[in-house]
Amino acid sequence: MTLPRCALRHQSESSRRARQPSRLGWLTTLAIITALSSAISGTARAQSASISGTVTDAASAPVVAAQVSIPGTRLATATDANGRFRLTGLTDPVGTAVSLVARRIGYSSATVQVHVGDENVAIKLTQAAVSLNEVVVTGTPGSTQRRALGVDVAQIDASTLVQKAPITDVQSLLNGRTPGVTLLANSGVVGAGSTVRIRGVSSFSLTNQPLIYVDGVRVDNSQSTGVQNQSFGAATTTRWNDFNPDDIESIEIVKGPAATTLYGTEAANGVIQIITKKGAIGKTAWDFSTRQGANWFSNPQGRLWTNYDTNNGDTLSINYTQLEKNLAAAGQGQIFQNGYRQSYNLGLGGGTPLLRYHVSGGYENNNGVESSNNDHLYTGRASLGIFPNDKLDIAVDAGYTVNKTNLAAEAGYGGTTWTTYYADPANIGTDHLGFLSGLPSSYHEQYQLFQNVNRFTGSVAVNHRPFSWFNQRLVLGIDNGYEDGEELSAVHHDLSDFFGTDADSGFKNVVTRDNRQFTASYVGNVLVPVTSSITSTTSLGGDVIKRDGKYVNGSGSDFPAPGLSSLSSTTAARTSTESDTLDNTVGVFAQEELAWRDRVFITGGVRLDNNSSFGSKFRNVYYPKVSGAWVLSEEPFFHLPAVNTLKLRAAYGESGQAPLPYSSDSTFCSVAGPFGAAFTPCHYGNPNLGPERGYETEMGFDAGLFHDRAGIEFTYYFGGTRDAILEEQIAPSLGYPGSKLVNAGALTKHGVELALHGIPYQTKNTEWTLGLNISTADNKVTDLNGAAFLQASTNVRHVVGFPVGAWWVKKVTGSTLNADGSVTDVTCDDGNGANVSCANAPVLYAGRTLPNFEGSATSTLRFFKNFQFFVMLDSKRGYKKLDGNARVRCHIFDECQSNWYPQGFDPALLGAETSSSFYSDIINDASFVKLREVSLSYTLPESWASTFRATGATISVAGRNLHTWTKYPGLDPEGSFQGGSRGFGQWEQDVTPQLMQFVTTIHLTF
Amino acid sequence: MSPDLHRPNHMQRHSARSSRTKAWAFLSIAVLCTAVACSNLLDVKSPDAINANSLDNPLIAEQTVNASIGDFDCALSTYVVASGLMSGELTDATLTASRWSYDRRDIDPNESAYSTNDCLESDLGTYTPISTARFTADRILALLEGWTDDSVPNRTFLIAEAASFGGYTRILLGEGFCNAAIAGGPSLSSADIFALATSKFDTAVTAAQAALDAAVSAEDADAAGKDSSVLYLALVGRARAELDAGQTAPAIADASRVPNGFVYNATYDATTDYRTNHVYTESNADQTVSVAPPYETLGDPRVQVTNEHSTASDEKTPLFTQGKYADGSASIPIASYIEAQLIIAEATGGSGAITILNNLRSSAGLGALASSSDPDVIKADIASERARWLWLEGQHLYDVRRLGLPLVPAAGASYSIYYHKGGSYGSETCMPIPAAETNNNPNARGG
Repeated sequence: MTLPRCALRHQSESSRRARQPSRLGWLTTLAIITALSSAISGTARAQSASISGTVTDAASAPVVAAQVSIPGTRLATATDANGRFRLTGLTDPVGTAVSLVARRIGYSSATVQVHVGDENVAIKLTQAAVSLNEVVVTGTPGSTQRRALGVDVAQIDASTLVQKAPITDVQSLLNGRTPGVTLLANSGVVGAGSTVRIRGVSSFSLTNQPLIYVDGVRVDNSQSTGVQNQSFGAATTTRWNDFNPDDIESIEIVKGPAATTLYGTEAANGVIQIITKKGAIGKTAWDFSTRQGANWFSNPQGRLWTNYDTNNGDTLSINYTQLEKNLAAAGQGQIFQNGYRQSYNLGLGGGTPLLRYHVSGGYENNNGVESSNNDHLYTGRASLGIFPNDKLDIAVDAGYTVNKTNLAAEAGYGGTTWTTYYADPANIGTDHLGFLSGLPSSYHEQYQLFQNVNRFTGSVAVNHRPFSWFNQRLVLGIDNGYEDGEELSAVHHDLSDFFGTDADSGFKNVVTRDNRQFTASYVGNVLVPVTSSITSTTSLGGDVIKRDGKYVNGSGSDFPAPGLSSLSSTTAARTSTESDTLDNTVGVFAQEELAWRDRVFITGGVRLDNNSSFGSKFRNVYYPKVSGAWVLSEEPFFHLPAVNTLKLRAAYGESGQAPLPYSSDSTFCSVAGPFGAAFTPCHYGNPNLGPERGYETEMGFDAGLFHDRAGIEFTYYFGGTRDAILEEQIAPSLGYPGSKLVNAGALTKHGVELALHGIPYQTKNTEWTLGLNISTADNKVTDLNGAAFLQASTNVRHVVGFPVGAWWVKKVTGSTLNADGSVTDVTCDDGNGANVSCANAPVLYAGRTLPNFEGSATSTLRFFKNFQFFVMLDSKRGYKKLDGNARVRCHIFDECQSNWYPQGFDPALLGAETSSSFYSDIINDASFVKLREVSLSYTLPESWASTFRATGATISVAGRNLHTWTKYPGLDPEGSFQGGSRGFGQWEQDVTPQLMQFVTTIHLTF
Repeated sequence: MSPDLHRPNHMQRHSARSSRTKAWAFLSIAVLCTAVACSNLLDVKSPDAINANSLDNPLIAEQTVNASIGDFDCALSTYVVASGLMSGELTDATLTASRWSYDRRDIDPNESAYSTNDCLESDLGTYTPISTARFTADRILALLEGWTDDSVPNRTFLIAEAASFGGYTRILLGEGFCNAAIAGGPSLSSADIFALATSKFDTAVTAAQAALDAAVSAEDADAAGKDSSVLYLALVGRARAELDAGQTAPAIADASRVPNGFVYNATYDATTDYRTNHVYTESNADQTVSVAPPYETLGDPRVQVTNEHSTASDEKTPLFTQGKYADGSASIPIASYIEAQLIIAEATGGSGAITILNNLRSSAGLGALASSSDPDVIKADIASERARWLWLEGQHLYDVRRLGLPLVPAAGASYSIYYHKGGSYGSETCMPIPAAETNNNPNARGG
């Protein structure tokens, strides 16, 4: 790869030009950049030559948002909705030959020789089964071509996906797009989010959430923060929801320690990087989209159950239809509504060789199936690229989000789901109308659960290329989020029959969370030719991650009158707390990459880390890595029929997971005492505490077949976690509550990831693309510091030799149904297949809590040139879920048919239902296949679009969560009561299932 | 390879050599500076917590004793609820299965909530908060005994206080638990623990008496008042431990020294969770317990109950709320003249007991008990009077165990009395030593 002559010749000239605006000062430049953008563009056009043309794919369809650039210079632009580009700012004389490169995720890059001034350059991009020249920026010291990577780094083309799929939030950009990334949905409540896992779990006690980066800056990845109802397992919020999918250009995912070594401590669960949209050289291009649609609770009549109870000796029943009728007759509305959703996004971008900008704003309003549940998301984002010369560029990015969410009460908090799911026929004829407790409308009126988030993310990235053999990059960034969570139960005397003191006197709880994360990272890369065929790239770098979180909580109760809602108007039990969390990581790293003829790559590296949570007796930790990649298909001897591209890769690496802040110190906590300020033991520290060490070997290949009509990406990985942090219980008699953390556990894991994609049919106007992602993720506990098991949560244990966080329960095998209907002589499995009294029975392994198989299949059919039909099926298998709804109904409230008409039911089921402590009948296989996404898009002909002065227009209709195939007997195999930070237990109880969605999208470009 | 880098030709390679050396130096320095300059970032202190070692300070001796008393207060209020559930004073009204075992009298020592919960949580921790209060009382007592009067004002008084609460934590461990360990020691029986409690009270009585004598001699009325209050606290505690251990004569002797009107309270403050009276919280605010049927309609001013004519938190259990504690700041008696008299009555027995009981009743405006010479009737009267006078004070569980009182509801009855929570009522009258102790304390393995 050589620097084009034209670029070298004009470096000094462009440098001179670049100095001129710097005299204006950065602030002034920032302030006027947007206003002057058109003028600058026009000026640039007037002073320089240009090259323009179109980029199309193999089926002659325009390729939108393809990057078109002249290598070695700062000159780059992007194609519009019709695949057109215009690259301005060329100072070479018209007719000078230059190389033009076009890139797009999913396509092979194309280089064409053109001349300055050419107006109709036609660039053809072919869909690439394996794009070895794609550039990856995550998990590497600098940007690196995929061919050099010894690991699998997934790339998701977000900007294309939002055009064709019903993407409603950032997490829906991830689900099913790449093997190994699992989203565990928690609740269908609007504003709630999923739990993300990459390659399963790697920790017993610490988080298993991957890190999130935005444009090189680490950002908050918290779940379940804020509103108090989440303590009851309800409506898990996630900070993923603060980002607008329309602002995202692409997402890169590095999946495990083999790939995340350079991120060091805290990266053992993988890293997900969001790359936001940037401006490109050209006149200002506007982009507008709106989505209109609805959410609804699919078929509650068919999915919810009939409940039984007795009243004055008569056995009665009630179901959803009857409840609806009762509500309607009483003029109390409906149980579940259809929730309207709408969103509007407006973006504009453009620039000159010197300055490029992209500004966007969005508003989304999403309403749930309960009238109390809605979300208003306001996002704004600005990106400014400054390119003073070919050796320097500066990117300034800033985003601001206001996210206002009203959550629904559910799970342990009660709510519409509670009173409906467990409706009690004994309440027919009362003011409960057959509902278990309050009416749905009364819940909406009584309990208000609100979270308001204001969040700023910003970064400055400086890329400096002073010599052809040296470049360096400095990134400074901040993520500052402020959450205000409020739980209000105001006085409603008319509802006291339903809610007692909650309605008579009320209460309020306010939680604020101020979270600041600061990132500073530097890396320098030096390229040294070792021989004529071997090149060395040495990288040295370091980073500082500083996190500071502050929680302030205030609560009070007893409002003296209706209408009051402030904390200061409560009259009793008014409390306030504040807590701060500081957690800092400092790390440096070095990496050496040797490249032989640009087709064999050997990379080795090491990272040295320290973290403020490590114990005082613990020193720095080292994480090594080594990887190799071989582009076999470029070897002269390579001749395999039908295989046009083949890369082999293998890697080993380590990364870590830091203990929780302050875990190493024995401390007392401040409490109020009987005579003033006091303190009480609160944490037993471990000064020897260090990080968990994740290690992983992965190997695989990327292959392009049949002239890139089909592709395979295969990865096998195995590894695990050493020095896993265990919560070792302290003998309470020692005086400290809780547990201490020790580095004593170990687990292993392995899995296979396979991505297949192909184009089985392609003509000029028709193209059919298929994709298949399959992954397995198995793990096993290998060491618990001598203990046989570790209790993770109710019925969930870590047991040596078994999967991490698995179900362990007594297995009820039988019972005796007596003539009077009573059930006695309940027996359980003794572990050897014999029956014993359940009191003496051991708990037995009952299955995984997390899926060990995930797959998705996509089909994209483009027909009549402008139509596109997209379908995605999504599946998870190999795990079990606890049907807590059945537990409440059949084990506690005795509302099931088997409780009242036991004849004919399995004696084991009847035996299990005799106690709320038996779970074997309600832990069921939750495997499912879901018709996750279906969409039909139509791109209007350019002539039609121009009637509304648009350069492009697309209309699509889409549905989400349209059908589920499952043997799981509960309401929704994806519903989870103990979602979010509660970790391992998958417990579906009193939660809103995933909602069916319908969305119509109109997308216009100007 | 990095696409940002362009392989240099020979000429460029030659001319760049010196610059490359500078670049390497720059890179190394930059990286080293990052590591060194940021090393102070790693020295992070929690602004929320106090390093344990910093508390070994005679200047804060009184504050440390008071902190220990706060630990006891918190432990006591949850113990009153938990033992009240177990002894039939209260009934559970939640859907939280992990706390039903108190009410069902079938505690699983492996249940993590039972083993480890503290007194802040609604899951009603007992063993852990009592052990914490024991630890902090013993810790400051040992420190006080090592310090001098010069370094700690009122050291003798503080020793009496710390020893008293060290004694009371042992009483709760001995009365509430079948076995318990102290400071990582072996599993002890209740009798063993009562002996240890008595020993602590010996220390307390001696110190309190010395402090009182000094105050009297110095004619310091305020100090004398405080010293005497702690003296009587220790005397009632020692009498209780002696009665628990079956030592009636010394129990009578100690209880007899307690003057009429004496009461020493655990104090509460509803404005913070740690200082809240959880009996009120559980019964009246959160409605997670209801008064058990035997106490619902006694019509006794000592057992104030309100039928709320609604259901409790689980929306199934009829709600009867207690009225003994008016709010979350109401005090719970730890020791009193009334308890001292009840100890004397039980230890004395016979008609003498009835006389004492009737005197107490008279002071509350209640009529005399029916006269009887039947020892079983007298024993029942003593039990009944104790149940009423000491209702919701954390005394009834050991009364059930010591006096062999019938379990209500009876063992074997389907749980619960209001709806099917599952299982049957058990026969436990004491809580098992938690697995958290036996698994992690090598001296207590095997329970």
